[in-house]
Amino acid sequence: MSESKTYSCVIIEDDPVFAKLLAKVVNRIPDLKLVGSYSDTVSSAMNVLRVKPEIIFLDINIHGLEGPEMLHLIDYQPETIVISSHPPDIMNDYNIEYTAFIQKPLKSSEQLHEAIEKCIGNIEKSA
Amino acid sequence: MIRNLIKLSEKIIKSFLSTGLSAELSTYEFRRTLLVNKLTFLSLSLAVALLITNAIFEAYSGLIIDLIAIGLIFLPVFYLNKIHQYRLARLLFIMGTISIVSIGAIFAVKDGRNSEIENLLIAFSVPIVILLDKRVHVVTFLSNVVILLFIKYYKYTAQGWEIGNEFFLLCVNMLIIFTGIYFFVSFYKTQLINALTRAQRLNNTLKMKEGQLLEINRTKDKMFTVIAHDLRSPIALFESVLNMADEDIVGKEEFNNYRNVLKKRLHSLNHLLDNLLTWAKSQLGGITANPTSVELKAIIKETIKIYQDLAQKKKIRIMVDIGENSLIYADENHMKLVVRNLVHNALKFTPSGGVVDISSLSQNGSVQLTIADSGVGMDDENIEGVMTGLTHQTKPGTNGESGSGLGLSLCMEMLSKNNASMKIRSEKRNGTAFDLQIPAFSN
Repeated sequence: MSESKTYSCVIIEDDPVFAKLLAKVVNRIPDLKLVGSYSDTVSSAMNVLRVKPEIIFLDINIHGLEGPEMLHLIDYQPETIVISSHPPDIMNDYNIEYTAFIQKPLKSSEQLHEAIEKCIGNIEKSA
Repeated sequence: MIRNLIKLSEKIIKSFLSTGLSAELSTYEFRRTLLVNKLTFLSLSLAVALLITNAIFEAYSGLIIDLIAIGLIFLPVFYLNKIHQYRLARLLFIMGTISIVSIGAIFAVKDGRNSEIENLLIAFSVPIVILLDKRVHVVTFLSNVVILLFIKYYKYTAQGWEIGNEFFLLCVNMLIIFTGIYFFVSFYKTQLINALTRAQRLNNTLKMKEGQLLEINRTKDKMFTVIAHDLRSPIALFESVLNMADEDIVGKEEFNNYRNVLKKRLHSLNHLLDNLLTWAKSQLGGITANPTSVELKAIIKETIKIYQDLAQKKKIRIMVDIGENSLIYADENHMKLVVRNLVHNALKFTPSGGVVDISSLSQNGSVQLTIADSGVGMDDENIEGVMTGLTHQTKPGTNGESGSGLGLSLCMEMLSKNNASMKIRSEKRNGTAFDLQIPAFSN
């Protein structure tokens, strides 16, 4: 892994308070560059296709389309970290690929680091 | 080897017998089609056997009749069943077989053979009654009788026998046999149809009930998922904020900023818990109303205070017109819960700039409380779901507020425990009004 490389990421989360908190944690990680944070799935879909982030943090319950449904519809597959207050088996209801699942609450920044390491590993492998 | 041969022939027979049968057919239609297949298969086998015999004995007129029977009747019957033309298949089978037997019998008489083949028509009157529909089978049955008697007459004259007492007696015997067959078979057919219809009706009722139960179960599942999420989310948020504060990612000053947000979340969590616990209690049968004299105005005032912030945020005006001395006779806590749910709903489904109108009207013996909004409205299906308690449909509010459908069904239950009732008036996009009839307090 080269030291200088940073990975673009976006947050898709309809709870503004949690989105803000998550952004704070993400901004402290030198490997990541947060390029957007969206609270509804329609603008998420358009923006994800536009900025093509390498990593997304995805909430499940979002007004309108749900997070995984949105990802299922668009023709772009970034490394996905699902963050939800549902237990992990909810993902059986959706047919999407994801790299890591974090059940809220956010326990420590370390928990997020591990998921991100996994994403970066995948990106490096496919590069 | 032999075993394989048996298996193969079993397979062929099976595929013949199941021609055109599908699960969409009613039981009666299914049975009739199966019977046609069976009879046709039997006739087909017989015709093939006769074909071989006639070929061996070089009886060419018989050979031609066999070929006609196979090519123009039996195989087409299977084809018609295959393309789901069941009535036509039955008609072709009956008419075709009667014609072929009659022609065979006439040829036999011409050739001077005393074959009695025309007596097959007697046996044939049974499938006529069973397979054909009422009007058609009466006509066909009578024609069948006439044809048989005609062949008998033709045979007598061809043989040079006298048409006298003996022929007359034969006709009478035939008529007795036919009449017997007709009434016997149609009696059993009616009995059978009745039994089948009853079974089918029962089956349909069961299927409908099963569908309803599945639907109720699905709604409950959905409701549970939404409630679980709404309970977990705020708690998870608090914990996340605290954890990040521990790591100093959220500083002391910033932590202060979270206080207001967390307080609001805590309040709606409390509201949900209240609903949930009341609902659970009522499900366990542990809820009884303790009616006292309650001042309606006080309840409304208290509720509005709770939702003032939310109304301000959405720029919704709340208008109140409640009589000063509107005393109702109900359980105070139950009524608080109902009013809180209805006002919260009204705010949730009304877009920014709208109005929520709360008014009361004293009628003889009861008070009508109306909570109306200028919101998105409910459709009939939705209203019926609430009134019957069968389904709890839920949709997000105008700002994406989630809901479990628990609130309204709880309201219905609380109201009925207090001898009160609720009506919903709504027009799509023109708002919803909830009219509550609550017993008035009288001293």
